[in-house]
Amino acid sequence: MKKIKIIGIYSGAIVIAFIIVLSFQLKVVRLLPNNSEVISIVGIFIDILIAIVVVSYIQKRTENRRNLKNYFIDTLKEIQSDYNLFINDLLNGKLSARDITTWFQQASENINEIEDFIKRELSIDDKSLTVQSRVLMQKITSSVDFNNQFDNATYNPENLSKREIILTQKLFRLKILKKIVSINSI
Amino acid sequence: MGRQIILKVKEFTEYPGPRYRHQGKKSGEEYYYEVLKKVFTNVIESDSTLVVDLDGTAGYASSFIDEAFGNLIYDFDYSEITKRIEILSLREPDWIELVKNDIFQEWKQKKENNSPRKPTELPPYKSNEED
Repeated sequence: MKKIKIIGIYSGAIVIAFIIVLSFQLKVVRLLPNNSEVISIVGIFIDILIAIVVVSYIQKRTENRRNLKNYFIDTLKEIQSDYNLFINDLLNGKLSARDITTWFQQASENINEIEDFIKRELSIDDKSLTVQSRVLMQKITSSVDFNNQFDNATYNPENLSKREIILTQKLFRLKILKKIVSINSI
Repeated sequence: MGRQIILKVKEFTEYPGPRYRHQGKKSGEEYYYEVLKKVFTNVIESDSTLVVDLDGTAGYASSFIDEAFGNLIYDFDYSEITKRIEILSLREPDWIELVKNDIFQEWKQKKENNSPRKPTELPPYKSNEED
């Protein structure tokens, strides 16, 4: 990256030097009668060059930022989709208690990591997904029925637990949507 | 204070279990009575500090963590616990804050209210030697 910048600066300097030399040559062959006209012409070329560099830099930066935002939004959508599948399997009694604790460990790491990235790259300092995921995990793994069925082949949540899980999952989905909105709005 | 003792939960089990012993294998209750309580007693007697490393397991139920650490409050002085125990988790650092800010505080409150550490309808704790 640093190397590219240095090459850019040198190329710019060479182009400017070329314009100055060209302008003086034009003066010698009497196309430009005096020094002030030479300076004006050089000034115009330099302004044009600066404008081109600034516009292409801003455009590149905007594109990069948009790509980054899209990446974060896609990752958040994947997290939401994984959560939906997981909760669906859990509510239908397809997972054991150990499957659940292992899944939450991995999910917690992923969410923590993506929120740290979003904070670093887009300056959105918000850990609401990490917190909400933790709330959901605690709600499930601290319930009496979960602990009573810990060594069973699968965990079948009772109706009260099911309702609480669904409500907490809804809140999690809402937090994901809010995060996507805040990424898009900066 | 003297030396630092490091305790890795993964040496107790790679698959931590439920809250109570009667609910399943490798419970938080078992971990507390069979490991943590004994080690922490030695830590105090030898004027040492204790680092409990939570990494390396396949994940925890929050009730395991609650039971494993909360029981300390009933058996040891709160200031000794906060002074001598450090919890370590690089994979899930949230556990550290959860133990310090929630679990210790809730169990402290429970102890101050003279609540029993365990609901009375549950079977009493049985150590491995009694099995």
